[in-house]
Amino acid sequence: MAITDNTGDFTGTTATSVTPQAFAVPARKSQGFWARGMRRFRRNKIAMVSAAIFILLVLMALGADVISANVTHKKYSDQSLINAFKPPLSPGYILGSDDLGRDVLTRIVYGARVSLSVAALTVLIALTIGTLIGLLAGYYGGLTDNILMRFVDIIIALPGLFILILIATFFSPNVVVLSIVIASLSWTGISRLVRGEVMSVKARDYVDAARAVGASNTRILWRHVLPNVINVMIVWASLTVGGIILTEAALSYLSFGIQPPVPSWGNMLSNSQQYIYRSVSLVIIPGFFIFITVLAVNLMGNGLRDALDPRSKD
Amino acid sequence: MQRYILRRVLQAIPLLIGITVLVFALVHAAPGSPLAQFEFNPNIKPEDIARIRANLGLDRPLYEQYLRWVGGMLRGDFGVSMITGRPVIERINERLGNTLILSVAALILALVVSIPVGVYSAVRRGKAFDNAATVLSTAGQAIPAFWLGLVCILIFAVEFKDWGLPAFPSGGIISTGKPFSLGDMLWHLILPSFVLALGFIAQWTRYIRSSMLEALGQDYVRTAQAKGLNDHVVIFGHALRNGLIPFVTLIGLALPLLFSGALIIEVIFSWPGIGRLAYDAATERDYTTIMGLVTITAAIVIIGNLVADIAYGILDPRIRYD
Repeated sequence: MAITDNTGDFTGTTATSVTPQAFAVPARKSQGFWARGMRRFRRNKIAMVSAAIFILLVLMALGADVISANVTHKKYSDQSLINAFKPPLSPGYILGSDDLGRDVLTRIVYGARVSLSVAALTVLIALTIGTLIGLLAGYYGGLTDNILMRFVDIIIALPGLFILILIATFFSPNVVVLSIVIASLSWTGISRLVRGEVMSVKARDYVDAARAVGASNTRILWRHVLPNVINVMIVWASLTVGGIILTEAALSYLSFGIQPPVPSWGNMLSNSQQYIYRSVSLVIIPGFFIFITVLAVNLMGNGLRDALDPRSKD
Repeated sequence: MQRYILRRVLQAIPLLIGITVLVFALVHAAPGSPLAQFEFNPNIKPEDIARIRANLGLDRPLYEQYLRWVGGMLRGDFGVSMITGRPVIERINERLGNTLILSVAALILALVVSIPVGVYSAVRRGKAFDNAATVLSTAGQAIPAFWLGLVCILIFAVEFKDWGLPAFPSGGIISTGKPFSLGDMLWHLILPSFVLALGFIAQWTRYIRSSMLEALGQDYVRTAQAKGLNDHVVIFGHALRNGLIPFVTLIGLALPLLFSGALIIEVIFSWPGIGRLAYDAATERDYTTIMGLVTITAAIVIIGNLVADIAYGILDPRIRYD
């Protein structure tokens, strides 16, 4: 279990600060777990390119207002029926317009904002729930573990999309509601991973030592166990974001997600099937953005896994 | 072995009960009541509403409503649709077969493609074929299935027709107005099952590649090579047979994803299965139908996993049964 050996120096970030002078090797500064991980990540060309693309997409989402005001000169809900179904590269419509004459590029950049916020928020919520349940199950074991893990089994056996569209009918989904709904089914993977890690971490000497000096369970979990599962959490999050973006897009496509006129990449595709004979670009463009985003996030996640999880190999 | 099977079966029962409790709680936590349409109608008297409530059993305590629902399902009675008034089980029965056809076709397709590609990638590791397979499967995992469905309709149904090629149907399970024929249905099945299978192909190719790489590094493979067996026998007779064992579990775990995937594919390709039914029921707020559908699909998933677990126990004699 090299992973926990490496994370041993997590609290000290750089080992030099805790190494007595006599043992310090001056030739090369020894690096902490995270510094070494970042170095491995930076050497991974595919991961770096993906990270760059992902940052561009995030900037596009953050700058949606700027792009709307200065590049496309349209709001995402501006309609113009006389300009409907403009092909891409038409004057005034860089990526064309949809069935209501709304500018596709404007809707794409605002859609990026919606899709990426849902993905980020969902991952955060799922991480919180999953980590908490994994920590409790792994640390306390016994009956707690049994009950919590059977609950995980139940959630895993559910056909996700059936439940999601059922829950989505109860609310009118906005970004926050949709994130909570998707997260409520997405936390099982990380809870199992964290549970496994905790079971191996809690048997270590430093946990015994902490208990021996009288640390409470809460303190042990928070200060000694949690820091050792953070790399697992990061890797899981980066490998899960892609799937969540796809789920959000699918729900919105089925019209159980983000509601028009607010654009999301998924709901931009809802109408496109209807107009498939009139405009090909309405089908191609939103899906292409979903594809590129998920691809970039997945490849970045692979890079993070290789960098932060020493056990993993291709 | 028998004890192992018995134990797995017994473990599945609380899981099923848990799922019914969860579904029941979910629907009852829903804001609004099924009687809301009457409550806000000035022409309906309060005593009539009370009578309807009593007729539907909604005045009973929750645990009694739950037990009645579960008891009914055990006898094959899933209640009646809140929209059409037809028994839910009838609606599910006439659709379930179509979903199974689609799902099984996709599963077979996924296996038929991913096993050979994964094996060949592992054997020729780092060569052009392996690299191409890696790129394609990475891309395949990032493609939204519903978008791929739309693009396939665009190319193979719309454009093919324009180009005068034999166009695939853009939806449905048989050609309308024609008598049923197997060939016609298979023709309709090709696009949706391919789109449904693609995600699994991408994922499983990677999986089989890495588990083959692991198997090829084992001692028994070197022994087999050392005694002069030809590559074909070593790869398929020794490495693949062992490499595929954990894969059985993976197929079991893929079932919930398969049903979720089928839902989208059925909506895009107007395939009359239970996914399409769930979509329509959700659109119409037909809660009884959705409750029945979720319970049945979850039960199928649990039974599928059970079968996978037992198959795993049979295939891998190293498994301990206690």
